[in-house]
Amino acid sequence: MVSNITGQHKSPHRGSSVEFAEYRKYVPGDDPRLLDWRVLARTDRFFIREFEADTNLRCYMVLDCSTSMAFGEKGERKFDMARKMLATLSYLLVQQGDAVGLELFDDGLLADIPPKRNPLHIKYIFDTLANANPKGETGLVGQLHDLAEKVRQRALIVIFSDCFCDIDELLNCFQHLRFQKHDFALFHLLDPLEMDFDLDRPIRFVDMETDDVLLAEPEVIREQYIDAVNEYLTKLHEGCNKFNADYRRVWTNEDYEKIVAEFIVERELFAKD
Amino acid sequence: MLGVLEYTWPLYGLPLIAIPVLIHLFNRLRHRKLNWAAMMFLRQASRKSTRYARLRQWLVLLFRVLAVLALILMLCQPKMGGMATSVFGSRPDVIVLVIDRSASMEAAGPKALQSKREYALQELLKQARDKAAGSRLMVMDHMAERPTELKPVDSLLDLPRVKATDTSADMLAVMQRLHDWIEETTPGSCEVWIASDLQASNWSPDNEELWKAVTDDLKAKDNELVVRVVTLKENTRENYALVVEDVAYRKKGSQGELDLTVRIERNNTNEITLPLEVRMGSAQREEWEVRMPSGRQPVRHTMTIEVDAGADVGWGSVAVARGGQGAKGADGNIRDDAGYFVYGQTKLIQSAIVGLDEQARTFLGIAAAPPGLTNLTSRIYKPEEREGLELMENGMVIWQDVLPEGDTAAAIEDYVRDGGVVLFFPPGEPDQLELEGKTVGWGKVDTAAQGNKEGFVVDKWDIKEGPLANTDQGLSLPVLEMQTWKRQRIIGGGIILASFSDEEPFLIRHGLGEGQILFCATLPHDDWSTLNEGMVLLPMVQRLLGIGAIRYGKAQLLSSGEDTLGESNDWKSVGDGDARSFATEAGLFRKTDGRLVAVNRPAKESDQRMLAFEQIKKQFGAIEVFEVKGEELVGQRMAKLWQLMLVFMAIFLLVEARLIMPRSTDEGAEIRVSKTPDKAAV
Repeated sequence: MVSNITGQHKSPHRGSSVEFAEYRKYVPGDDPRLLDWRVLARTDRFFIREFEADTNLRCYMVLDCSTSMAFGEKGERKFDMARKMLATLSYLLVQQGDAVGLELFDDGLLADIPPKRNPLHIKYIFDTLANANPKGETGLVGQLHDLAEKVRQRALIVIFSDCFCDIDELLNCFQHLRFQKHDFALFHLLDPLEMDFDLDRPIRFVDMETDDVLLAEPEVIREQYIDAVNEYLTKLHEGCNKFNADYRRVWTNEDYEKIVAEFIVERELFAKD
Repeated sequence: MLGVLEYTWPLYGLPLIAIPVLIHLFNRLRHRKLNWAAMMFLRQASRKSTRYARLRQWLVLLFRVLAVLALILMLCQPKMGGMATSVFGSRPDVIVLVIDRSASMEAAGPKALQSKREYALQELLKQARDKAAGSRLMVMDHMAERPTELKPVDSLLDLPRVKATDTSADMLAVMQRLHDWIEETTPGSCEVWIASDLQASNWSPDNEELWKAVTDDLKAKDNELVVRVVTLKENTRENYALVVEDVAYRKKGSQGELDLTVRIERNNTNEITLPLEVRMGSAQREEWEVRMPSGRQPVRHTMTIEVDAGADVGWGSVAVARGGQGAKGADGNIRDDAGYFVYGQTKLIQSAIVGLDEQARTFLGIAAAPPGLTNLTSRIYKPEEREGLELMENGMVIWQDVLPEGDTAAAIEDYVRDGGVVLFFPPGEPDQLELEGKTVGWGKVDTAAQGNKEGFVVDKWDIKEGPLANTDQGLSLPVLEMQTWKRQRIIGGGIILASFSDEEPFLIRHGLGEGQILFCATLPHDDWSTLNEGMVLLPMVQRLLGIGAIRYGKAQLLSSGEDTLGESNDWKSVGDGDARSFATEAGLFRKTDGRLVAVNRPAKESDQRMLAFEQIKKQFGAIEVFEVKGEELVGQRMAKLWQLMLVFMAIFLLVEARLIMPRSTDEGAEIRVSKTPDKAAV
């Protein structure tokens, strides 16, 4: 992380520091002051030293506030689950000196709070989260593209969404984010009912975002529904793998604390590696 | 053959087939509503499954509708003939062969040298051999009280109870007896095969109410009863049927005279001269001819035959001569060509006199049974002795009393209708009685003025016929010389046979049935008139008695099968050497006590009117009736298909249940969405 303030996160970037990291072959353009003369004397080859650089984290929390996030049949609402996880992460990050910002959107931007590490800033984030309500259609793709352009410095972007949008467009966003050298994690919130489609009577399904109605017999279309879900998740997963996204599938009937803890531990372990 | 429905009321339930459709529409309206976020997957899945889902929906609806329709049809109990019979039909438990062996069935049948009865029996036998396997065969002729089992089948033609008779059939009574037998024995499902020429007089088409009652009862006893009628109405030859209507015998000195009246029915309109042969006893034979004018109407002919007066009793026969002019060889039915008669049997002709006044009683008794005439007798009853009066034994009743009423009046009416004669004389008091809706009787009593020696004079009377007619020699009765001082007026109309000079009737006649009732305005009494001198009273009473005595002659002429005079075994046939059956055949018979009777074919067997099959079908009402035109007997019994409808309904419901059954999760609806994917590589 490139920053002016030293934080607790090991930067993935190599810089001047007191802690030796590793040797690397000299290429034209490297700083000659970094040449290790002893290695040269021993091997007649030019190597430079790289050192670990400690820096602080800039994190953007992105919460999908579309109506679909209000769904919650077998567990709590996706939106509430997301808020809890977002709030928890935000608090932890601010506590350790990281800067956290917040973006809320549906089909438009609802809230844009720049990252700060001020402890009082977390209260602002909390208040904003408390007043947020899921409504409107999903504008995830557009918002992510805007974010990718807006955030100049490298940052950690944590997305909380059900990702009910065009998968190709979404992957395109991931590519955009990666191109801007951002690190991003996706908390993909899902209700088990949305996935297993465990319904047994003909139902009038009402689109939560558009109020469109579809009459269907779940028993009849269940197989096709699950095929569609699998296809989507597989594609999303592969896309996340391709763009090095930290993909986390979150079921609304799971314990959010466990999920957050896993995320934090794995991110710290990852940083030490 | 087209199918029919046993019941049509279930068809009113046809709108019920809309119920599955309505339920389907209603369910669509009340589908559970669910707000859904993952619509993208739902739309994608619906697009893929729409085609199958819709087809499945339509199929489910279709099979539900078909199941309801099958239920309604099952309740209608459809029946179908043709091939369905061979697949679904069933044999009856019992087949009853009803044989009409009345006299008309001896007419020539469809095949040469065979009567209709013989032809029908052979056809029934053939069909019974071929088609009645598995069913119990019973046979019943029109005279039988109940069917009897036919075993073996081939014995049908040899049974005595299918032989020819001269009787008449009452098919309505046959059906009633058949119903009684079914009720008593509950034989199971029945078919009735009837062999009949559909003669109208046998089938009583006018008795609609009785037919309905009997057939409704039959249907109630056996809902699957089927009747097949082997119709045999073709009468291919000319036929002349002879009936003896009346025979009157009288003695003329040493000779006897017999007035023989016959009626000849026919089935053609030819103008011919028909030869008749009359046999008197075993020796005398005469030939006569009857002219038959063109037209279909029957011809009545009276022959006066001289007979030997030495014998008091005689018998004879009259027949259409075979081979004669107009007969064209054998007649269409030779059994109806002959009639039989007896004559001269002495019987005491009795008169009953009920008299209020003793003098009148006495004179009337003498007039009814003059001394010297040994075949006439009278019995006098005082008014208080009327209870002992046996009307039917008398050739005539003379009533000089208040008019009868109640049961007595009814008995007198029956007596007159049967051919009796009743002669009323004034009781002296006004009185009335009801006669066929008319009030007849007596008015006030008129008395001639003092000094009028002639009194009331009868100056008009019928001299050609009636009791005051001229004699055979043309001499008139001394009616004009009769003096009347007292008379009682006759009220109620009627035919005036004689009247006074002031137009008041002296003698009035009312016809009733086969007899007559007369009113005479004065009494044979010294205070009333000179009627008691006998010059008018005697011939008047004797002539009336002669009319009433015809009933005695009719008692000697019986109809085969209808009149019973004791046990058949008491009667032996006489003449022409054949041993005939008194119960079933026409002929001459003598009883063990010496009495002689002539038994003839019932007159109604000469009725040439035959009913159409459609009329017979109508008479059987709700019972299925098939016509068998002498050839194919078993054919169009309809098979009941309600079981098939039940099977269809079950199939439809099973298919519907299979279609709506949810698919097993093992078949591929397993959740394949993993909870936690592999961590994305960085």
